[in-house]
Amino acid sequence: ADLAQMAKHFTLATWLRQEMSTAKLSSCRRLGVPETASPEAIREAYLQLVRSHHPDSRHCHDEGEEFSRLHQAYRHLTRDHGCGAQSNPRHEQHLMLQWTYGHEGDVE
Amino acid sequence: MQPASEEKSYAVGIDLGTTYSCVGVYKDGEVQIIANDQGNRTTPSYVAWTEQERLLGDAAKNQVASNPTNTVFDAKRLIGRRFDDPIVQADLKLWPFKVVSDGTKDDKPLIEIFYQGVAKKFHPEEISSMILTKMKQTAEAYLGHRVREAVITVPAYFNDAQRQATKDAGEIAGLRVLRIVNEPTAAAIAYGLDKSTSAQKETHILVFDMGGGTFDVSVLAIQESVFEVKATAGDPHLGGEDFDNRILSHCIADFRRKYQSDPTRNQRAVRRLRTQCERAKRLLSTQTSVTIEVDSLHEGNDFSIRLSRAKFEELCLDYFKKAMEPVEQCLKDSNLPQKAISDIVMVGGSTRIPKVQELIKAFFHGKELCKSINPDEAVAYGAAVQAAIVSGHGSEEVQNMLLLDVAPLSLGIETAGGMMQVLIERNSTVSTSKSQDFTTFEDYQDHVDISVYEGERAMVKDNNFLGKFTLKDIPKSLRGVPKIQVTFTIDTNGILQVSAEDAKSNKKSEIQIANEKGRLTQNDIQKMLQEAEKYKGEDEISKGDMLAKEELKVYFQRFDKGIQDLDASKLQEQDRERLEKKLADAYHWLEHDGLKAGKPEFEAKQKELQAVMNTETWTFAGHLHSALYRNDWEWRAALLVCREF
Repeated sequence: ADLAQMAKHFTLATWLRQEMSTAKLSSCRRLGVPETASPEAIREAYLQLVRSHHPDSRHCHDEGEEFSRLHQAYRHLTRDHGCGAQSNPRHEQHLMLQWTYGHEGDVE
Repeated sequence: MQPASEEKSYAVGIDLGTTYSCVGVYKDGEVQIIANDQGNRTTPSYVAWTEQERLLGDAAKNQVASNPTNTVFDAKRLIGRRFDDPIVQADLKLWPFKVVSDGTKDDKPLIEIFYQGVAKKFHPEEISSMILTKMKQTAEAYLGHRVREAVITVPAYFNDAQRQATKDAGEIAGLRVLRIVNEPTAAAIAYGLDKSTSAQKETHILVFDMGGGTFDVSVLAIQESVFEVKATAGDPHLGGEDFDNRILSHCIADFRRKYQSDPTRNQRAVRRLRTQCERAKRLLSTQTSVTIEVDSLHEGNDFSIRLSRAKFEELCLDYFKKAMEPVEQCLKDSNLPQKAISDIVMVGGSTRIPKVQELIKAFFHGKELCKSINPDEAVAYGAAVQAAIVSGHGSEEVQNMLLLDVAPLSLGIETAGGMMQVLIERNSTVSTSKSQDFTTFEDYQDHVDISVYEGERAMVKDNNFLGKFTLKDIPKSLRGVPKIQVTFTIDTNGILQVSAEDAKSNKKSEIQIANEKGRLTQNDIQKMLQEAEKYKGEDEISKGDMLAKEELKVYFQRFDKGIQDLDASKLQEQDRERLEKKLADAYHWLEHDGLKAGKPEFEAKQKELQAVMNTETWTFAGHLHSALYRNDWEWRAALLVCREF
């Protein structure tokens, strides 16, 4: 049976994503804070790391990939409260891209 | 690593404004705002062409009334826009200079002027680059070094195309653009540097930046010299110019009523009136009423009107009210309560207007506004600091500063049904990248279109189109099966790059968005760079021409005087007549043909006169000659005076 058809599935799924996901842990690891860290501690850690990984910084050696990862982890923890992104692949929405035939001679 | 001293070059910060520009440099541990050759710390963003030469800045603005159609300003309101943009079309009616479409698919606007009898067309980027060149020269004159790198500011709410175009303008001016920085962010640096000693704990500020042509609001969090933009909002077409226009139409309506004649066709009259309107607006910030007076404005009628502050506020009230919407939006986006804002920083000339201050104060329930920073210079100040950070020239304190800016608009692609799928949400911190998987819409579809848009609406047709490319040769399969990963990368300048990759075939295709829409190609930039160089040469040449002309004029005077000095015994009447005729001819030549003549012609003419004089007078007396060259040093002194002139 497909769980997603059952009542209260949404509540359960949300709870599972919030509490059982490894996403929060990985974001916390990236920022180097324990999973129980307060928002202040998270921000502190984020600011410390960003200082040395922002493309403007003298200590930065890449094109900002690390900064981008740090920022995503920080955003994930603060805005999305560390929620996981798991979903039932059968209910995934496929976003489709069209193609207009014969436009602007792009076709080879 | 320090470069060798003779190659030492500075990185400057330039606030490229709609109406005024300002340049600053970080030097010896502090920021210097640099005054131009007229001694002004801001330079009008004006370029003008007269009969002889190109004028920039103050010189261009000062002659605007006598030369309205060849004086270009407001290039920032054209940059990165299409000619058919309704905003451009509306502005067009107010500009005395001519703007035409380039006639291509991109529909870029071109500014047309007449210079030395020939119509010339310029891209807005070129006009901006001339202003940037002026700012660069100002900085070079002050520093005594070449300036090759710069940080240029743009309104936070500028879109991708406008940012790219500004960057191009910098390149045409021969500058390496280290960074495009948002104006309110730059202003926040100026504010933060002022207060940095006490900023151990997180403070939130709101920057209200209303200048000559654009309006921005940003909310920032400042903590331990990290400046993080939380949200930004604004209107790229709202500022002091709009207020001037309102006063102007008020005056024109009044003039019509009084004299039953319409001055709008008379460019010179409109320009003179506009200058007075701008002056009146400024005065109304400190006094409660002013008189706008222009003698002989149109068809010999003098114009005079009394304008009270209340009337001015009534004329522009809808604009002022409109400016409060982005403030509300920005606060909402930042997820901060109003109370969390500890300071409201006012930047830009238009924030001097009492009604604007009053409205924002009322919005924050009577909170005092921060006026400790100079509203005209703060942006250039911040840009100079950022230039020092990026180029690595700053002190320790400055090097530790960090700027986390955001993208002002959501960015996404078109999916089936014309829907907008957002990949990068607005107010995302830059630089950032984001990927998402997409698939095909039809069975056996082997191409997909990636159409990139920016904006907040759900349907792409309501958003701003940025560019499009096609990913080809996707292995044929049923709809919904292929997996196409689209990646958006936005750099610290706020400029976007998009790539698409098919997971199965590993085919990849990408564009830097701005290459597509209305942007100048690298070739164009090269061409314009050469043109700019040529102009620089031309400016020098025209200076040489002027000098030669002045020399010739002085020679005339001496010649004339020389003849007068000789009495009849030494110079026979017929010879005198002949000489005088020759001189009159030469005068005539100078008055007519001489207008278009260059240095070689002037010199040739002078030689010709010399030759005449030699043959004519040598035989009679050396007097004339000695009169002309009575003493060499006097001659030289006269020349020096000309040069000074």
